Amino acid sequence: MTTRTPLVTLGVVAALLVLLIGANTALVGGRSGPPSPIAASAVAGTPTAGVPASAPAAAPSSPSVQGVFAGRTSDGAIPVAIAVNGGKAAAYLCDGRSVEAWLQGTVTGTTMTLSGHGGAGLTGHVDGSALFGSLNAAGQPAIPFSAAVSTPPAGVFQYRKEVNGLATRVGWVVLPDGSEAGLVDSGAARSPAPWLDPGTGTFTENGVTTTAATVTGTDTVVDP
Amino acid sequence: MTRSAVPVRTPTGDRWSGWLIGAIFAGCATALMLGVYARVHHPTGAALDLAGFSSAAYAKAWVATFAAVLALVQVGSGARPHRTEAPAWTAPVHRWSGRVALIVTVPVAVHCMYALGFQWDGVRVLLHSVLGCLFYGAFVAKMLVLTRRGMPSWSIPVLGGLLFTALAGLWLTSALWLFTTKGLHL
Repeated sequence: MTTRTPLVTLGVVAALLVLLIGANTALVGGRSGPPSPIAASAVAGTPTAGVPASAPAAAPSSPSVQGVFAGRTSDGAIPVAIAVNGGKAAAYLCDGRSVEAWLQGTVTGTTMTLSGHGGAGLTGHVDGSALFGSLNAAGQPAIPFSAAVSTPPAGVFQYRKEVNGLATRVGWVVLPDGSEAGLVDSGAARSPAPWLDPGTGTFTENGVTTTAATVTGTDTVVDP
Repeated sequence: MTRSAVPVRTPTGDRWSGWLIGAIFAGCATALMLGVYARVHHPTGAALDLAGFSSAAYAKAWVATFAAVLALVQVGSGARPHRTEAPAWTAPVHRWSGRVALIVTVPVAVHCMYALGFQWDGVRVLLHSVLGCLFYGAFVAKMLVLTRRGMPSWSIPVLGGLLFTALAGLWLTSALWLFTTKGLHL
């Protein structure tokens, strides 16, 4: 005797699979123009609509490019910005709470490889104006991310100073929509960074307004 | 394959073996196809997901948790479905918990394959990728084996056990990892 119901179950599951892949292809993959990974991720606010094709780093395979890729990990938790200048790249990723990493590396053709202290790293490949790859903070598992060529205020910002004998460093990732994440490293302690005004690149602490440095691809962000 | 050559009512001898081997081959082919698709398809980093959760990752983790609970029901209700002393309700509970569990995993798996792809950066990611393919392969094999009576008595428990093990491994390498590293919330 034969039973057909398991075949029905099988068929329903297969149909659902095909339907969902089709829906994704139609709605996510079928967008015209370059993929807009930031818009599709769970970022609040305006997407990166209208990243101009002629943005400064629109041809990142060329060795003389300058610009910023900004995006998030696939779970939306960790913003990352990568400054590229020629064949050099400097990046900062930060969730604004506890996870961060400064990364330094090179761009060869369309491949980007960066590393930081404690095994932190980022690898990606450039596809048009988008960058896809995976990254990890020190001691953390690798997470896929996507980023897109971005215009200001997107970028990597830092501020370094000795405070009370402790080397203090503040880093910020700013995304194209102005959302940001930053952390203060003072000695071994980490705390949330003050708000960085994306328009002016300044932050105010204890009534004092200070300008943060805009990181470019050739800056040294990982101390030897 | 020799599927059509297998007589229908053949509980003994090696006459069931063609259908069983065919089912296992179909399962292997399914697992392989999913793995190849997930590797070849360029990961988009994002895909359609459920509203109401803090992120797609959390939506997936909670749906996977629901499926894992149903998988426990599967083990409980599937342990003795053909024993005469089993209560009559165990069979429908087993069938429907299985159907629902499988169906809710599909959007999660599609998100994995479409947005992230088959990856091997780290043991957790590799294990998750492999188990995801294995899970649907085992499902296909089990459904095909179920369509015939007279299959060896170990075939369904082995395939069911494989399904449960794969789903448990998938949950451990994704939802549990997310809940323990990023916090337990919606």
